[in-house]
Order: sequence, then C-alpha cells, then structure tokens
Amino acid sequence: MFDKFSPKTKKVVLIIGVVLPLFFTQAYLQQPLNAYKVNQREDFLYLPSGDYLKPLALGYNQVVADLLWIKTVHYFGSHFTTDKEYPWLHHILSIIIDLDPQFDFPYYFGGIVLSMEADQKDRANDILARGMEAYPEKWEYPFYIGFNHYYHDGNPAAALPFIEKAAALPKVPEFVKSLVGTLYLETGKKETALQFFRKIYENTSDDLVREKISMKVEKILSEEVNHDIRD
Amino acid sequence: MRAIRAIAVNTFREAVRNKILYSLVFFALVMMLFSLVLDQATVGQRNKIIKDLGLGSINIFGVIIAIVVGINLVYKEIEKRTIYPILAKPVRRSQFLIGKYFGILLTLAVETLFMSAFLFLLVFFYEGVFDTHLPLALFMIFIELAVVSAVAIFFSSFSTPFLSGMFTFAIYVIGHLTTYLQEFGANSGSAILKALTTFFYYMLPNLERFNLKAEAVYQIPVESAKIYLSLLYAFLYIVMVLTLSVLSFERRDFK
Repeated sequence: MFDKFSPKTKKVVLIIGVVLPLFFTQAYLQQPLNAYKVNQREDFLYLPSGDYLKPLALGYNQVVADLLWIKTVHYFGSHFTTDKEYPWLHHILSIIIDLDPQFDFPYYFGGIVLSMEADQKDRANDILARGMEAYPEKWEYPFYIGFNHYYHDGNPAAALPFIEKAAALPKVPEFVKSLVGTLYLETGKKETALQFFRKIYENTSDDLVREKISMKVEKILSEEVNHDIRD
Repeated sequence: MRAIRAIAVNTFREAVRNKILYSLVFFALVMMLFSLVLDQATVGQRNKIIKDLGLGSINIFGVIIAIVVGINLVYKEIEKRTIYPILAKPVRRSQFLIGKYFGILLTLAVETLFMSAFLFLLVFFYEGVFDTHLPLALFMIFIELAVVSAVAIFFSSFSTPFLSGMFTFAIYVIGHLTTYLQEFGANSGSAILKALTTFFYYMLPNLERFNLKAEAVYQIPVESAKIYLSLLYAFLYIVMVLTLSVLSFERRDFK
C-alpha cells in the first residue's frame, strides 16, 4: 500500500508520522524527568591534582583552566546560597593555578573568598603565596597575606614582613606604606615607625597623606612625652 | 617543480570539495561563538575565555583537518586508481608525495586564515581593538599543523587510512607529552627506561615548542630566538619525516 506513493510523499509521511511524534514525545519526557533530582555529588572529588592534569590537557591548559574556573564560580555560588561550606574550593583553585599560572583572577578570588567567606585562612595564604610567585611585581598578594595575619590572627609581627614587601612594590597605594608604620608601632618598633613615617612624608606630594602622617607623628611623639612625664 | 605545484594545487582543489572540511570549520566557528556564552557564566578576565577557546578551537579542529585530509589523500589516489595516470607522466613518486604535502599545507593555511579572521573579529567586537599578540600564536599553530600533516603523510605512505589516523593522533598526543616522558625517565632511576624515554623524546615531535597560546592571551613577550629555533626545528623535522615518507612510498606496491 505504501509503495504506490511517490518518494517525496513517503518522505513527508515519514516526517509527519514518525519524526515529529518522536520529537514531541522525547521533548515531553524531559518534564517528568526533571522531577528526579540529579544525584548530588562533588565532581571535584574525582579531579586529580594539577601536576597530573597538566599533561592530560595536551597543551590546551588555558581552555581546561577556563572551564574549571567557570565550574568553580558555580561551585562557590551554589554553596554560598546553601550551606556555606567550601571543602573543595582550595583544591580546584590549586588545579586552575597549576594549569594556568598567569590567570590572576583565581589568586584574588582564592585569597579573599577562602579567608573571608570559607574561614580557611591558611589555604587562602597558600593561594596568595603562589600569586606572589607568579606575579612578583603585584603588591596585592603580599598585602592580602599580611592582612590575613593582621586581621584574622591579630598577629602584627607575622603581618609586618608581608606588608613591608607590598609597600616596596610598584603602584602601591599610600595607605599600605602608612600601614607599615602602624605595624612598626604595634610591634614596639617606635623609632623605626617614626623614621618610616618621615620617609613617606618626604617622598609623597599628596597633601592629604602628608597631613595624616604629620598627625600620626605628632601623636607618637606626644605619647612619648606623656610616657616620659608619667615615668 | 612544476609537477609539485600542479599536484599541490590539485590536492587543494580536491580538499576544498570535501564536505567534512566545511563541517569541521563550521564546528570550530560554533565553538568560538560558544565562548560568548561561557563568558556570561564567569567572573573576571572575560576576554581571556574568548581568546583561549578561540585559539584552542582553531588548534584542535586544525589538527583534525590535518589528520583527516592527510591520511586520505594518498589512499584515495591508490584506491580510485587515479595514481596510475599521474605516475605514468614524467612525475616521480617523491614529487607526487611532496606535491600532496604542499596541497595539504595550502588547505590548512586557508582554513587557519579563515578561522583566525573570525577570531580577530570576535575579539575586536568584544574589546574594540585588534589584538596584535594573536597572530604569532596562530602562526605557530599553523606550524604545528604542518608537522602533524607531515606525520599523517608518512603513515599514509604505507598504511590504511584508519591506522594512519590512529597513529597520527597518537603521535599528536605523545608530541605534547615528550617533556613529561623525559622527566619521567630521568626520575625513574632505571637506566634502560631513561635511555628509552630520551630516545622517544628526540625521535617524536615536541609539539609543545609551537604552543604560544598562553603568551598570546597574557601578552607575554616571546624571544625572537625561540621562535626562529622553533621554526628551524619544525622545518628539519618535516624534511626528515617527508624523506622517510618518500623512501617508504618509493617501495610501495600499488597492486
């Protein structure tokens, strides 16, 4: 019976009678399937370290790092809106850095998010230390390590070498230099602090910075005088 | 020389009639456009993703084209018996093979240029400026494709297309791992393994020499000496592989 139709008619009948119903049925099936939740598991569990993944990337390291980075952003977003637990964040950031050490955004992200949001200060410092290796001219990475020691640990002595290092790098803002002086003071190095503040005063042309430094120096000196009077 | 040129031009014409080539280029362009979607799913350094994926697509699809075209051309001539009238003319087998190789190179050059132009436009529309760091990386991708094509021609000079494809793809994969292989051998503590990995390190092409994608994306300056040495390395390797291909092809029985 089907033979008496022309090939063109057969094609149309096949498309309308077979292909279209199949298309609509499979599309309809998507709806009930959506009701079943995807088995929740951490894909990152199966990711080897960057050392092993690098050879497997076959020279497409940057592309693999980009894809992992997108996955990281989604991992962070999904946990940020739910349990606020990030056990795999450091692992995946380490892999991205291994694959693409010049990709600088993961250093910032890891340095800030791991310490401020995930409460993993040591891991944040590890990521930042690797940022210092990759970008030795950027003041931000030693500054953030120093900030983590100072703010999270309340340890100005541990923070001082990093903030000092940051202050010596190009394009560093004045407040970082000023912070070095403050840390000298907090670690009991009053003379060094005074010398440091005077040095900034001489080297800066910013009136606001000069005014603030003058106030700080005056405060240190007046505290010194008060201390002498009390003695 | 005229014979080589005639075969090369003919090979190019034959290759551009191949529909597989167009579909591969189409997929490469789709991948590049897909980077615009990925770009929306990320934070920070968005233009990096477009360049990474663009360069990666041109590279991987270029390799697939090089293998597909490279392994089939010689085989088709033998299978369709069109090689007989060619070799009956004053054309040596070596000229035939070298002509085929230049034909593949011409095909790859055209498709790389086409895909590169697309990437340039994509980056231009995104950043508003022409990225002057991309051409060097793209040129080195082409050099890598030239090496892979030579390897494909070599295998197709004595083997079937399927096996040639498998062998060439294996060489492409190992070509990106030779440095790791050598390190592995050096750290293994075994003298035999060390000798073996060192042998393979020098025998197989080191395709990582032509990988300047990161340098292009991060605008890291590349020493001109490194580029010249890499080009010289590629030239010597290609000549060596083509010589072996000619030697093998000279002995081949077409019956």
